[in-house]
Amino acid sequence: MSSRKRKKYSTDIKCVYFPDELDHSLLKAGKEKDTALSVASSIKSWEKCGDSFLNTPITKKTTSSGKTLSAIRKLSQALAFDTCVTEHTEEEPLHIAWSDSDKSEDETKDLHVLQVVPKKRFLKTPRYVAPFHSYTSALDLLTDNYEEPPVIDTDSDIVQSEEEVERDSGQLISDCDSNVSNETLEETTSKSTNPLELEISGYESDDANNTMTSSTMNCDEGRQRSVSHWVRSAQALLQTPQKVTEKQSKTPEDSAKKRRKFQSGGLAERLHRLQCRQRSAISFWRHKSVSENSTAVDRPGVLVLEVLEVQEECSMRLVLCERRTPPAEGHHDDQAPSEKRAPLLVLFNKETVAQLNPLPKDVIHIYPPWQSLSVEGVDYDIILNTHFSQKVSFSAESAVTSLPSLTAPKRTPYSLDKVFGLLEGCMTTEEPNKQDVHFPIRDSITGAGHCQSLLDAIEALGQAGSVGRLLCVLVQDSYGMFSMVQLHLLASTDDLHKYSQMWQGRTCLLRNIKVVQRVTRERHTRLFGLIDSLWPPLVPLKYHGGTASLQNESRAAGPPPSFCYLLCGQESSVEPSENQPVSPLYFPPTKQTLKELMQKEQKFCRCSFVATVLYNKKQAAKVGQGNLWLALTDPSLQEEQLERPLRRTVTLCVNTSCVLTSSVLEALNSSSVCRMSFIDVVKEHGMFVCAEQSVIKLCPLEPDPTVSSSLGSLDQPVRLDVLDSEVTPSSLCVVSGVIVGVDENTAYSWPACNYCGSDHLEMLTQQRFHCVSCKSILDKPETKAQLEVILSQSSLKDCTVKIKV
Amino acid sequence: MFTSGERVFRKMRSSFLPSVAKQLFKDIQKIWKETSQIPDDLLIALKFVFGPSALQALDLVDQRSVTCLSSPSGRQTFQVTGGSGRMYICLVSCHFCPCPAFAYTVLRRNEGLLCKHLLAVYLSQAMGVMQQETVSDQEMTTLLSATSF
Repeated sequence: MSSRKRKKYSTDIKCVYFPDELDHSLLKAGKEKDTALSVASSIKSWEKCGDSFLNTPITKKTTSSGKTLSAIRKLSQALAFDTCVTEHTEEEPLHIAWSDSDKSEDETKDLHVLQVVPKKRFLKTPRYVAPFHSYTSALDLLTDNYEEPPVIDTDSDIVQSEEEVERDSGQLISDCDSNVSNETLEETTSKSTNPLELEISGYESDDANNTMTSSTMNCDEGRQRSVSHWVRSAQALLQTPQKVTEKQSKTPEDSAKKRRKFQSGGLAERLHRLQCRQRSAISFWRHKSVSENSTAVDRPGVLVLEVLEVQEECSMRLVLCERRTPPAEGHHDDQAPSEKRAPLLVLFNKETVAQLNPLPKDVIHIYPPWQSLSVEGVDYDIILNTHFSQKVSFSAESAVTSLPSLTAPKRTPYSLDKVFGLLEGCMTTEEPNKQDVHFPIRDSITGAGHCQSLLDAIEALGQAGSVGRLLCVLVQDSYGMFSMVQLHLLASTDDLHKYSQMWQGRTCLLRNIKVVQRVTRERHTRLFGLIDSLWPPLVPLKYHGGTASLQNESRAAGPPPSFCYLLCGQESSVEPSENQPVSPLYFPPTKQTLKELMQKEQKFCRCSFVATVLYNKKQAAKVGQGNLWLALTDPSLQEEQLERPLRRTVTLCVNTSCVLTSSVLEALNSSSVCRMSFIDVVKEHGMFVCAEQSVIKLCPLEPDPTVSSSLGSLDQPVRLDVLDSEVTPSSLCVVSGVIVGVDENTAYSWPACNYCGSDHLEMLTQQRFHCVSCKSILDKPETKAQLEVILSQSSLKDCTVKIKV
Repeated sequence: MFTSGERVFRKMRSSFLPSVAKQLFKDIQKIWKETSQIPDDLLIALKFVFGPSALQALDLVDQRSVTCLSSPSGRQTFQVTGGSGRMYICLVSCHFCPCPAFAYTVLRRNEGLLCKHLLAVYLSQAMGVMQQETVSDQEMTTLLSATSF
């Protein structure tokens, strides 16, 4: 279906028209109706075109650059595709000269000269005057009279056509269409409604100009029609441009790079398209501004600027300019005094600078489209993408100076410690500085040091002695890591509760901390027992390397840590943060009943409970020196029926490393029954031990109404186990029987002080004694006796029960 | 340098291009957060300011070539897979890339602000499309010492 016409315009170039698929497919009205059929037919025409060239006389150009494709492609894009060839116009060869701006990785910096021959005039198609929202759509308007210029699908087409053009590289082809499109432009400029009359729709950084995306995106779909075939056809028509300048020496980054396809739909592909469009627009504009002298400065959007200062930065020119009102018509030199306006900082890229050479006192016109950017911290508005610039008047200096590079002061290189803002921000949010880690704190107290000798010292001196207790806190960070921080000596053991109240469960900041030791699970079973009791954490933990979005996903906490750091600091090292009253990470102790605890199979764990102290056995004369054995019970063990092997009481040993506050001591010293809460008690071998990190607190006798009944007070007389064969040492039990004998061999008596109960008495006279402990004189000391009685019991027939009284 | 009359204009500051670059990254970040897209105008502005690196950097971003490596000790670096498959380690706190283009264009000739790898790092950062990877301290040490600075 394609009819091809050939017309000869000059002896050495050929011109091939493209077939009538252009007519119907590229007319804007018919744009959307483009079908695969036309594409197919155009492909056929391309093939024919290629074939036909083989037979035609060709004049080879002596200098043909191998890499002409880029030039060809650019030009083809520059040409309005929507051209429909019908009539002739004047025949004047036009030269389009442009230089590649900003070459991409494998495009050469060539100065291309194309000889174009005018052929036909386009049909006057009605123009679209559409509202445009962005620089890029404004660009489009420069290149064609349609609102929607074609988009070259760079991926497959270019690669394919590359091969084909290379095949035909020696052939001469002329571009017939270019002039036509130029004419279209010219024609349209003369009209009153000017297509180049653009709103200044620069890219403003202050407001996110989202509409531009949609507008250009909508255009894209419409454009992707018969792009591929047009490109190929256009390429066939184009004359191989001459290489005027040598290829610039390749920078290392360009070497050894084949052209690769950009990811379809990606940003690079999009930019590439935009870039190509821009380049063609620039080339068009330059050609136009060369050909026509009049510069319509009174159009809106044109910046008329006078150069104040020029500065070079990284091969770009930064020109500080003052705005001028457009001069009166016909008098370009007339610089009417303008009102005060903020100066603008205009950026020109290398290519524009080469053309323009801005110098102080020059007057420059910058035609739209251009972009404006407001930068924080910079007073001037920055003008970007100033490709369409023209120097209108020349200062006296420019006549003298030759090369632009000599005039602009070159900036000293930037120091390498500059980072462009974002990365610094990223660092502080992503990775908490070791100094500023926030920890929720779970209070615990430990005895002074872990070494044997210190413990001995404490045992010897007791709590009231000169050896103080170190306050230690167990902390956990948001990544799940635990640390034990030893702080300062406690002035008094009662301070423990003060710190507990201040810090426990709070998120705190730790400062001036030193690392003492890294401890592992194997060697510090009790500490890790405590850590295990705080695992898994209540809130999902952060993990190193996770992005912000991933933090929100729930993630299994994994096993508890197998190592822990011992840190040390001072009281001032801990700073509770004001924000949250309780950190979400705080894992409060779960109080359990003794029954549950005794039923637990776990050999070793940490637990917390409330229990009544029935009896305490002091090893030393006074509570607080040496170990303390307590017999405890709670309502769970006082039930009517208690299944075996549970016992009614449990034994708890209080180590000297466990800090006892004065109130606790007092309660223990008194012979009355008291109720206490035990936190983080070690349970091992069926027995409870209050060691480091355990806390004993007095519990009020009146039960909290919210507390379940199992933790309530004991309202009945305490039930105890009856003595039986399964009794455990150091447990309370009830024995009843008949005294059948007294062991007189082991019986003895001694005097004791009436007041203090001390056994240490000195005899003064026959009947008078002096008590060493309380310094009192006793006339009649009381007598204490010890004897063992033998009981006969009905339940234990084959055992002898001896009770020491 | 100044125009005649009572108008007085401030002398230009030492450098503007870094601020322009910073602003562009900020804007990209903002727009990406809001729309998950970078508008054409912003792409073209990137191209204008950064030159040929822009296209290549965007290609690297499309390929998700930038990885943020972090080690338990707290160190962070960026690893960029270049076009030829080579990995470049770019530092976080210092404007540096060991690629030959950086050495030539930025350091030697002072013709560019950054190379495509660094630009890819900034863009990936702004768009939040960086891969994340944790390496051990040992590996981090090896990476940093092996890179030819």
